[in-house]
Amino acid sequence: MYYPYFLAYILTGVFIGIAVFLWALKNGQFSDQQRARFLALEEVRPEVAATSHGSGFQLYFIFYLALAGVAASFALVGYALFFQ
Amino acid sequence: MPENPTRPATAAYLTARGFCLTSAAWMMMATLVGFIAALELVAPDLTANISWLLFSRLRPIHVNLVLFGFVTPGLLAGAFYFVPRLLRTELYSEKLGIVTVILWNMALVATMVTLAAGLTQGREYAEMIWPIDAGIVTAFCLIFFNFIMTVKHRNEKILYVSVWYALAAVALTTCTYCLGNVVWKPDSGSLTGIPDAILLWFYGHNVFGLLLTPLSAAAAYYIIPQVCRSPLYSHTLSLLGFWSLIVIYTHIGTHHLLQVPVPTWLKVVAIVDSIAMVIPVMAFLINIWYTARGKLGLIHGDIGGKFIFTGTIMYFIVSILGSLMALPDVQRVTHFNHWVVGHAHIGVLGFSGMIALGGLYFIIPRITGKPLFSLFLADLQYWMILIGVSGFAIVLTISGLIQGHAWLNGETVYRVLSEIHIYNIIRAALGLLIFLSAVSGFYNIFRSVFSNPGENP
Ligand code: HEM
Ligand code: HEM
Repeated sequence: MYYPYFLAYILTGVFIGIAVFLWALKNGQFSDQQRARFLALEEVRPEVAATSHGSGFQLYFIFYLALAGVAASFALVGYALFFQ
Repeated sequence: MPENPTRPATAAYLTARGFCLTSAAWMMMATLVGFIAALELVAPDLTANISWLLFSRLRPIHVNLVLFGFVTPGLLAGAFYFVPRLLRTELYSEKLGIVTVILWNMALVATMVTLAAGLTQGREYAEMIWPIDAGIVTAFCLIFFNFIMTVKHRNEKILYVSVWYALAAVALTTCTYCLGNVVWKPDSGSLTGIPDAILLWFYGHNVFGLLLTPLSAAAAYYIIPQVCRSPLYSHTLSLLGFWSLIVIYTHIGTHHLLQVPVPTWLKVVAIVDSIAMVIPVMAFLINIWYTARGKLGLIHGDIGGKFIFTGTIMYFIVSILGSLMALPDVQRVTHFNHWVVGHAHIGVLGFSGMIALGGLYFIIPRITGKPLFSLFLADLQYWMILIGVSGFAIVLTISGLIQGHAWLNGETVYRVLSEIHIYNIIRAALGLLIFLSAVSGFYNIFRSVFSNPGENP
């Protein structure tokens, strides 16, 4: 018989949920919603330069790695299809 | 970096950095393991006799490492950055945060070693043995404590929706993880019979619904308005979405058990609420998409925003799919085959994985004060993953349909295997692409955080 435990868990969850909701209501979390819309924006945008600083040879290496990956992927498909 | 006077200038975001590196590193390992597993579906004898490389061991390693090694830490990195910023204060304790990162990584190493050694509790998403469970729960408790104390010391009265989501994700996961892993029974980590299945899938679905989804939504709600330089479309709607997610998502786990003798009323609840999920999903998507309306150019120009916006589109797709898959008639065809694996990759990689990476690329320049090491590499990773996950979705769906119909028609298995062979091959090939994108992503993130040649702007 696990159901009494399941039930107890559900009820605890419901009560905690309601308690948090009521706290939020009382605390004014649902008021001032117009200002809340701007909260994510209040940051002064750090002016991060959008340029890439990777040195040439490292970038080329990774780029070729990616190309090799694509090539290997095709090779795998080709091999499995035609040379089995 | 120019600082807002209401913000402290000293925070070094060490915890966020730690989780960035954790996520990038484990993404490589997790996708490598997934790739080897996929190769074994193409060539089943590939690793015969090597016990720790058997499919049955690789699969749980892959699944647990993508969930707890790549996606969750990636999303947590974002949360450790934006929770203090949104509350206009500093993180309560960076030291505690670092301890959490270390504990988290120890748990991941232990997970990999024990699962490879065959030490498993054999319940999907809850395979880890008790000591590891204890480590993970402790880590979640530490994170919750850190967040709630940060909330307590906040200088902004209103909790922005991202803070609600982050707190709820951590608090709820602590509880459901304990329950789902039956931590009060250290030996077996399980109940017996049908109640165990119900409990397990209550937990299993909560990993996506009450951990990955809220943390992803939190990141999107924080980052998309910034990238678009416009306020959130509606904060009230976002709170509505939040509370409806909490109410509805907790009930749908049993849609994984529609073909199991669980009580019918429970199945009905699960199915009805799976359809009702359209409420929180659309509340979130309408809000984000309206915020971004007319601003797609800005999103395109910001690599973090680009990853995240794509993630929201994937969320739309995975949720529509999911609601349909919860219908018993549909599930007669889609259950127990590659269709579900396709859905899983659209969700975990396309939606939350994409958002996790977007979060990393958005915050790294802001915590280091330097540009990303290479925008080109980040963009390359974006395209490799987009191609990879879309390809996964297509081939897994096709082969899932073949499998599902064959099963319904009572065909013998060996005839189906040859029919889906080609799809398994393409899947493995796409997996290789994703693995390599993880390698280049790790290099980029490592260089951005540690030895970044970029100038301070
Ligand atoms: C409205 C939202 C969603 C609904 C209604 C839904 C529904 C479902 C259903 C019915 C299944 C079981 C399929 C079967 O076994 O036949 C399933 C599996 C799964 N879902 Fe979703 N889904 C939703 C969103 C998501 C999201 C957002 C994610 C990822 C973050 C996700 C990840 C998964 C995974 C990983 C599985 C595979 C579980 C397994 O190992 O069997 N889902 N989903
Ligand atoms: C190298 C790339 C990848 C490959 C080749 C791959 C392959 C696989 C394989 C073979 C499985 C087992 C499916 C089965 O039981 O039949 C699997 C499961 C899974 N993978 Fe991946 N994967 C890759 C990347 C990822 C990534 C990046 C993520 C998430 C971020 C992910 C998430 C998952 C999940 C959640 C499951 C469980 C699916 C279920 O239970 O239905 N995978 N993957």
